[in-house]
Amino acid sequence: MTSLGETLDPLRAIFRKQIRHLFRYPGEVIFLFIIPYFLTALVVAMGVSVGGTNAFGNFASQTGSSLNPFVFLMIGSGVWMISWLILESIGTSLRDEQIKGTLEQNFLAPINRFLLLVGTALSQIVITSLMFAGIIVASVLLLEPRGAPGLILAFGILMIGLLPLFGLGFVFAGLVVRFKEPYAFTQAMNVLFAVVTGTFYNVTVLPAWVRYVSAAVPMTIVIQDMRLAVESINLLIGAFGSIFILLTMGIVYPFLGYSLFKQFERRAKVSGDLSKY
Amino acid sequence: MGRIFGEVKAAFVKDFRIYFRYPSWIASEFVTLPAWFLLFAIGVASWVPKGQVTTTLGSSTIFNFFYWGFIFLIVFSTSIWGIGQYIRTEQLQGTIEQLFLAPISRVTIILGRFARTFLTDMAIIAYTAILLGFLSRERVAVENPLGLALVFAFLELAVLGFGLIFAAVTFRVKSFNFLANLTQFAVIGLCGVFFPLSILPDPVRTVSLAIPFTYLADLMRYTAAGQAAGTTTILDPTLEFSIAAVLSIAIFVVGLAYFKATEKSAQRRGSIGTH
Repeated sequence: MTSLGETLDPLRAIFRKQIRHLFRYPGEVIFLFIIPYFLTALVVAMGVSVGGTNAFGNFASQTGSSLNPFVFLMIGSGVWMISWLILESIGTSLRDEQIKGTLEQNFLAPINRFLLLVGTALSQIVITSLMFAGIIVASVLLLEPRGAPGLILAFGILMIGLLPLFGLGFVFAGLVVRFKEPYAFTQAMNVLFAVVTGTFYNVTVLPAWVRYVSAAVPMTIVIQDMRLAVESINLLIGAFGSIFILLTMGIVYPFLGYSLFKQFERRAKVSGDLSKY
Repeated sequence: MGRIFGEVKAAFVKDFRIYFRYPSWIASEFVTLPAWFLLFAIGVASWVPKGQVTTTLGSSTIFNFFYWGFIFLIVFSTSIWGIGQYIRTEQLQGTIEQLFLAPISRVTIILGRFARTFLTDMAIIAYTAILLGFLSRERVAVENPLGLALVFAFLELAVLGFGLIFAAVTFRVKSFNFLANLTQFAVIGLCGVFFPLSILPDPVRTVSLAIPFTYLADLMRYTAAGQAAGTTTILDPTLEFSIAAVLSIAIFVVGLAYFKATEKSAQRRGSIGTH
């Protein structure tokens, strides 16, 4: 019977290691904060150039949102960057260990492998909060100050949205164990997620069959609800059903994701594929 | 001459083999690139009333306007991720010292890699045109095929030269990814790849006009979408063609000279394999 302290010690160690690795390359961290601003500015520049004098009016009517377009897009690109970072960190964490040659040592260590994934996931909460502050809070306070109270709710929605995201991350990690090519897979999936989740637009403009796919991706709900929370808390109350869907995803996705990961891991242990890449 | 051709061919075959060794990367490329296009095209379409064409685009559709900017970006990216990354890849694989000891020119190896990226770029461009045409029911129109071919030739020359400069810079800087992303973003933001330069403020536009790739992006859209589609050039078309030709040759010559000089300096300093 292991005590709570014995469980928390490895978790703490993994968490600290992840945070150190993350901040070891400050250039890359800074870049994570710059990308959403750049992408948003690019879309605004392109939109204004093709939309002409009525560009902002067109945008409001096409998206059905009264938010400042820059804020609308920053919420989308901010959540997208956060999800990209999380899915890639969890999905490729095993490959990183393989490349560093520490994977077998970790598997021989007398700790639960689940803690490895949870420790990695926990460290993501820190960077997610920092990105939320640097990208979304900053743009709302600057361009849409009336939406400031909604930021607390928006942060809550983002935190709930992290749970199903971790579940998807576990699926990615399992697929990496099985198919060996993490970055090609995560890159393709992350860009596809941006298309289906309405990063730069409202998902209602997508064809009906794509909207079915969108509905299954948690970031779609996170982006929509965060926009509503900043626009008006009343609008979010009207869409409270989507938060229940997100909560359900938060329970189901990690469970399914981890089950799938365990299945791939078991198979890899039997075939000896675990350390091959 | 025969020897150089043999070296380029060997480098080309090697690079092709490596490329096909990772089918997942090929699949990812063929999924990711059209997805990027869709993401931005749908995003920008939200700024235009449904079914309407704005005065900025003349009679050209959003699809054609962005398609050519997108093609420019694919080809430009080759200079960074294809040619520029060559030195860093060899450093990471631990084969850079062997290559320097081999009695061949590093430039011919880069040319082999360039030939491979040129072919794969063409495949991706053709595939993207067909796929996006199918998805959006739009056809890719080319108004002036000869002019477009000429612009493509200038662009490829400039890309090769800029790639050589980037490969040389890799000997000196350690944060390759950071620099590569920054350069790509700068070109997208400053060269009018996806929007006309007229929307940029004056001082920024002056910087844009000093970048050779601005004229190549502009001419590509002009020759492809055409004057009839409402696309105009920054300068008089004949003058702009001449400027683009001179600048492309200049970038290539500077790139070649800079790469050779940096290579020699790295050999002297003993920093060939350092990264």
